Amino acid sequence: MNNNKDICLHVLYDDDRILLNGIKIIQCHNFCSINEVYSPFPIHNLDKILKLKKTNLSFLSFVYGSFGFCLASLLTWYIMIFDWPQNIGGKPSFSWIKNIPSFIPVIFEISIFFSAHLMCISYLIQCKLFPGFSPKNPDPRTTDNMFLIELSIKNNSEKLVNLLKENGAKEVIIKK
Amino acid sequence: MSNHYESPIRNPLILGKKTFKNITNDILKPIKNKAGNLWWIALFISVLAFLWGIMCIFYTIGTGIGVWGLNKTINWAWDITNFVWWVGIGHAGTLISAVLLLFRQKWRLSINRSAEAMTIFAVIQAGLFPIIHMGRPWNAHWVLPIPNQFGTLWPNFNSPLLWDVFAISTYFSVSTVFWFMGLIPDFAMIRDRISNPFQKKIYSILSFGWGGTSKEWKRFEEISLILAGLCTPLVFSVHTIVSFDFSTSVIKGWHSTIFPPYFVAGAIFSGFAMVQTLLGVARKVLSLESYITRNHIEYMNMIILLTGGIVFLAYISEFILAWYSGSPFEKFIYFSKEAAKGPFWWAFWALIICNIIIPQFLWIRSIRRSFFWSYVIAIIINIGMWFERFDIIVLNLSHDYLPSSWTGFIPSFVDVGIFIGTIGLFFILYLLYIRTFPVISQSELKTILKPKKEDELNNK
Amino acid sequence: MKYQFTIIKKIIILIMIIGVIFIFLDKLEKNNLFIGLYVPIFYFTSISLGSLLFLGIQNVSKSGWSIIIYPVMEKITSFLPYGFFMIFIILLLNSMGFIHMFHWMDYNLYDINSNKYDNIIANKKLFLNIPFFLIRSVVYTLGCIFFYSKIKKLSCKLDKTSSLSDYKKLYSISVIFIIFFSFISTFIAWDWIMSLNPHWFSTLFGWYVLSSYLVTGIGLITIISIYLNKTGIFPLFRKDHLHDLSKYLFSSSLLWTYFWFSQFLLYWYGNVPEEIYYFLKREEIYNSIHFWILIPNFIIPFFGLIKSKNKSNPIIVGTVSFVLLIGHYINTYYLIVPEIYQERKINFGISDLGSLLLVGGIFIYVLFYNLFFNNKKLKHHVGNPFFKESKKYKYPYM
Repeated sequence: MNNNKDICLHVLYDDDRILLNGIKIIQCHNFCSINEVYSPFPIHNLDKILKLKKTNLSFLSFVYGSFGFCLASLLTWYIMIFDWPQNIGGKPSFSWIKNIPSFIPVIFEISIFFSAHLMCISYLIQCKLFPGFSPKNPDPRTTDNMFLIELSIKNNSEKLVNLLKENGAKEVIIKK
Repeated sequence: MSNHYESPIRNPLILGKKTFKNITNDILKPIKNKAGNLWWIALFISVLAFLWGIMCIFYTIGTGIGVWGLNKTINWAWDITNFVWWVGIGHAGTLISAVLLLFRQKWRLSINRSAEAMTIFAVIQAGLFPIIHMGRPWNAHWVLPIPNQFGTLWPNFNSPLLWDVFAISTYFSVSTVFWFMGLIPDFAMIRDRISNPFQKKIYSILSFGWGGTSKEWKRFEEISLILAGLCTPLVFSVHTIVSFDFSTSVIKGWHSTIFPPYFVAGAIFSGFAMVQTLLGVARKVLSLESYITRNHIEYMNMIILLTGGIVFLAYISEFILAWYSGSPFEKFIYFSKEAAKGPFWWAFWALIICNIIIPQFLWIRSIRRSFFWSYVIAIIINIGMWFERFDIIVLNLSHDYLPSSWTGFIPSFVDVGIFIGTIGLFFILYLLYIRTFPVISQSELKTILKPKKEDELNNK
Repeated sequence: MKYQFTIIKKIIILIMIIGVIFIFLDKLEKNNLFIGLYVPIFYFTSISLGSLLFLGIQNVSKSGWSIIIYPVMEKITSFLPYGFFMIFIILLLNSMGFIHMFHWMDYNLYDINSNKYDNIIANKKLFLNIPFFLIRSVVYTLGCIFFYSKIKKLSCKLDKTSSLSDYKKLYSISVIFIIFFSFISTFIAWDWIMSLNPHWFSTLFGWYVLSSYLVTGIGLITIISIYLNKTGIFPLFRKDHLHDLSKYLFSSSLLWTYFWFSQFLLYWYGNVPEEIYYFLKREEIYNSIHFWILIPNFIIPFFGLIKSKNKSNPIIVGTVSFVLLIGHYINTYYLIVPEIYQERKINFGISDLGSLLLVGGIFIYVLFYNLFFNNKKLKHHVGNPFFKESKKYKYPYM
């Protein structure tokens, strides 16, 4: 996508609905491609228009939760049954399955713990977010009230710029 | 979410004609401006209270927990009351952001950030009490299942107190992460606005290089939904496990199966009351009047009514079934005729008045929508819920199965001091928070700025 | 549609006849016949109650997505008067001494000179006496029927007038219904199930049974909505609505599991003989059935509906709802039956199946009669101010 010949355009909007309209116009032109859209808040339907795939985070969190479940089961079994079985309050710890009601709370908590934390870590990795990373947005206004489409275009930029400006783009910046 | 159709009879959630820019500036204001005198005075008082609490904690640890008002019969009293009270307060935040997200209640967006902050700060206070109560807090790590030099000395996984360790620590860490994930885009907003280089540095570290790309937002929405799904059972489990501390024992008045849901409802009840208390002040001080409106107050009051109703039903169940059980010991449980005239009548009536009678005023619409009265009622509920826990713990223990050991309880100044200290610490954290954090999740609030009206949808 | 109803009618009547034959095949004495009938009657009434409760909750919470499902909920609730009536007859027969289900109705228990005298039950006489018991039952019956007809009438009126003042009336009657129901639901469970065994009690019991109402109510709402959508008379019901219904199904089954676990854990952990024998008895008769019912009531819905895609798949959601309905029937059965048969070991017999078919047949007949008779289309609540919101509702994360 980022060939040296390409021109990079930053198109700014101040309304999410006009932005969606603008994206549709750009998608009609096959000589340019949208690199990224920056917005101050999540825009409904944007993922469908840009054809973003559903992420695997929900599946991952289920896997992490199952991992936590197994780990907690193993932990309770090892500590209470295998390593040092005791008769506590008439609940002899000689069988894990017979004693399971009193292990459920801990198993539950550890499952949630692993599921939530590992999923957040996966999310940060997938989004490439890390403390101290430099800001990804090219224009600081995109965290305030502006919406920015970054697109690369081969030629004919003037025509498109005019078309976009007619359709409500507030500003078009050409970056070499 | 903005092309979701809304009926015209729904109330607007943001008052006045706000633009995206206005929202940004309103959230930035407390961070950019200098603190007022009121803030400094409040911080000063909180620090004083906290120092007093610290002294009492040191005195306790240095001397032993004999300095508390506990005795052989009432071996759990003031400390565990505070523990349960603080954990209960810590329930509303995650409930607002997780459960209300699942129910798609948009009004949560103005209050969820502050409520979650309150949750985290309250859980910190709660966590202090068991650690102090250990007497030797430097051995606190013994509650964790870590291999140790004593051979096979493990914590007892049959014990509800150990479940508590796992529940509270999971709750604390997961709600903090949930809170922080939502904060990242807002930190990015501050990072791009602020001019002071030191502050810019801090906020750019905290914002993790957030850019607001479409993929980031997609993942952000997905992760919020999953985290909400994970946090909802977590919220329920935490106070359930706190209630297990009591109800797994066979002490009369404690051994009751209704305790788990009843404690959860009570926790939400007190938590929302605390949210009201804090937001009532924050709204005025930070001039967030257009975001925290009468409607928000009314919705919160409705949840207070609902959970208060559940708690009331639980009282009735306890009262009738204590009689139904036919056990002579059940005659003096925390919610019984004997308790009303017994030595702890004042605690009993405090519970009745603050928790049952006063909240009923919220049925009146004008009171429910009044900032002043709902503020007053919220404070009364906070007090009432403290007494509820006090009643459950102290009243039930004071008349146990052995009449010769029946006794009373008087808190020592150390008991009271530690409690005051935790209130001080809580307010210190909250005051620091409102000056440095984005108090409203502005990025999500911007999504509900312009709900599409009917005619616009038809044009499409 | 009328043609279709006549076929369905024949099938339903056939089912009822088979039910009756099954009951008589088993050659029961009078007492056991009514005990067998009591379980399905209570079960189907609880489905109706759950549906009405769900309707009330939707009204009170001013939810926007669910208005198009209101007619289905109302139709399912239409069994309510019949169910309450049948329960009431059984209770009346009990109190007159024709049948003996309620152990505490025996006069000798309260007579200090009798050798049957039971001190514990005698102490409960203030609560467990026949007149007060019947008065309470009348209050539940009349109250629920009153609120049901009031809500139905008001939403009918709202359709014609579309006025906000009527909507406000509907809203406030729903609020009053929820308050009323929250009180009586606990007492219904105590009176009609828990008092079968007057020695045992659990403070959570009322809410435990209440959660079962909700699950079965929502389960049947889902099944009927999917069915009507398939037959083509309910085109407004889209995947978005199904997704929300299955979320409620999912969460209410988790709620039930939560209550189940809380009650079981506390009695298992406390291990007090007076309390744990309730579970031990069931373990003996039905081989730890209280664990096995977790499979249809918790594990299958949990794994079946946890995936977002499955939640909008009508086949999966329908199957899960059906499994839940069966699971909760087993739950109702195991709550009631072991308490009535004090002496001998009793298993699920052909007469139980027969009475299930008979009462289920009546239930489905009432439901389908209300759905199909005289009006070909489902009458939507167009007058509700949120109707349009529900029609246009889109699940935002799909």
